[in-house]
Amino acid sequence: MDTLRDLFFALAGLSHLEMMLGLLITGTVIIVLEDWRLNLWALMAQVVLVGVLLVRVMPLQVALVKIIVGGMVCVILYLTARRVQWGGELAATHGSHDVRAAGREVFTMNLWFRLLVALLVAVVTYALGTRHPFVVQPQGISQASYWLVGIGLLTVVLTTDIFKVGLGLITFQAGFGILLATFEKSLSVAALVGVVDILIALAITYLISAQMAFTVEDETA
Amino acid sequence: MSLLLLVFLPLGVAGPVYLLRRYWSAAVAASLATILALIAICGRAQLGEPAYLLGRELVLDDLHRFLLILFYVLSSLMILYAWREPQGWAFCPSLLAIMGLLSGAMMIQTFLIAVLLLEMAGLIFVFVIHGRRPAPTGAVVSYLVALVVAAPCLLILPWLAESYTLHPEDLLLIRFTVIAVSIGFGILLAAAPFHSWLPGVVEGAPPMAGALLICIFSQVHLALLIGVLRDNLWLTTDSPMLLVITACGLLTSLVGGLFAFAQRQPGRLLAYAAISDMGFVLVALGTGSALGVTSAVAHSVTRSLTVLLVAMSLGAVRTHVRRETGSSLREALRWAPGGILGYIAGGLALGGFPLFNGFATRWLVYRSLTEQDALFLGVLVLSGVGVVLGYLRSLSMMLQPSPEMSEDREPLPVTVLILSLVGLCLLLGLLPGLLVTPLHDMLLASGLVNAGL
Repeated sequence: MDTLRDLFFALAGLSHLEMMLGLLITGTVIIVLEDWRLNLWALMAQVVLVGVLLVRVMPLQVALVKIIVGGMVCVILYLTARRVQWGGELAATHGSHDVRAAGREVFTMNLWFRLLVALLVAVVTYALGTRHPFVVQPQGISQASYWLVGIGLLTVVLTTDIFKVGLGLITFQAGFGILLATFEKSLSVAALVGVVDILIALAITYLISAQMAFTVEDETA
Repeated sequence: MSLLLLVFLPLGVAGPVYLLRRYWSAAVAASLATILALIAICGRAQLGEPAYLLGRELVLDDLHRFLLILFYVLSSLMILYAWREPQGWAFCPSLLAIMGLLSGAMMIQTFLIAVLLLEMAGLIFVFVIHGRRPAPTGAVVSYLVALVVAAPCLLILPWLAESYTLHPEDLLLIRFTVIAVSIGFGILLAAAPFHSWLPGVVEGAPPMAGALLICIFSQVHLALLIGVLRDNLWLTTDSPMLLVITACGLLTSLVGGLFAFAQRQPGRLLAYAAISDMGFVLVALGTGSALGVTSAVAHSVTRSLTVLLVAMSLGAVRTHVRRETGSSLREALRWAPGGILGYIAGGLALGGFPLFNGFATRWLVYRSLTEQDALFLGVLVLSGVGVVLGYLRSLSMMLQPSPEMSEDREPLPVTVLILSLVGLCLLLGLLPGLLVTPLHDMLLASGLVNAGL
């Protein structure tokens, strides 16, 4: 616990701009890159950065609860991805439907398109957070919240992959969690929000597993 | 203590019921016993006596007790139906967990916690969407996204309301609050233009899962919306909230009726009919009058009964009408008599056909509108006609073979359940006072219809 606390205080020394840069990178990795391992690492880094940011508006213990819950969510998603061999043969079989669907799209949402959208969201949310902050102090809170909400929603919109939808929803929840933390700091609410996050991860896990199971059943039939 | 039991008893039993899933009858018996125990506990609970959960107050008033008992009765009917027509292994345990969380959401006095409990219940619902056949992934994902996006809109409400009390002159704050309420509840109640997630889920999920969503979840959302309007009276006096609700209700009713008329898939038809009915509820609520609020709550109750009837009938017909009998209604009646009769009666009731409960409560909604605008009446009547025509058209189409086909006749308990619900719908249609009068008294007692909201 002491080590965690020391680590926390070391990270808490980061300026709000450095923190924003970190969140910008993790959010962009989640929306732009397809590799699930990189996505999960980005999500984990995002959870830690959000926790560090939250220390400025809520008690350390409550922020720690949020980081632990975020870590659990990442573990749940990692185990699921491993179990269904995400990126392997099964996922490729499932993904072939997406490839066919992509052929019918007006334009494909490739890496450069997603990168451009991420940059656009970054500019818009920074401007929004600077001009209409929902809380003035500490700095960077509003921008971080708007950015995570925006990039989370866009991740959901730009993909048909359940795994990525899950990452998008968890990112959206993290952004909203920052906003919620500025006016509701109680441990009970933080705990319930944590339960909601874990349930989202479990729901995503269930949907991925069910989809894979039904795909296997279809192939066997 | 008894109020805490309403939350924790079903949550506690859900685990053992999950472990019993291979012994289906035992799982059903345990679930049913738990729900019956909840009805007994709820019926004997002291009104107004608080209990505490996470340091927050839980209170039960007359109206919420009525609604909770209604939910328990509906869920017991769903469990009985699932006994003979399995709805997926996760149905019973998930239903119990959902009922525990929804009970908490109905009783807790802190809106923030109520929304979080509701979101948890909504997330557990994901586990019942896949039944014996997979639901379309897109439909499930849209449900999940809708839920996760709607909850934050409601979670910021207490903050916005608190800020309004400090700065009542801030117009931006009022606008934000109206937008947050409209989007949050609009998505959860599947009101147009946020309704698109519901038809996919109802079509793809097992019938009882769809019924659970429309009959119980919608009612809880509506109760929360009424609670928000009651606790923040400035929303009805100093903001255009009621106007937004009325406009949204009209649009919902019209969209639901038109799409129901054009619909060829029975599951989607049910969803659009339910959406159209929700439009009626919202229009009545938007009047803000005593009659309007009473008719909104009464119509939402009858909507639950009717939707459950149609969902049960749909499931029975999909499972038991055989391929070679598909073209003949008489043959179909031999294999699934309850299903066919229930489907016809339910469709007529959903469209507001006279003699059925849907007509009686719709009439109340029409009456609450007479002083406002004849155009509103025209739109509402048109949407009802769309639903009835949609059901009459769909009858022959739904007799087509489906992947769930079974070689058995409809089980007797299912027939009895469906025919009982048909009887109840007719009874409430002929004697609407049986429902409306006590509801009005309860709304009066809870201060909801003193002078409107």
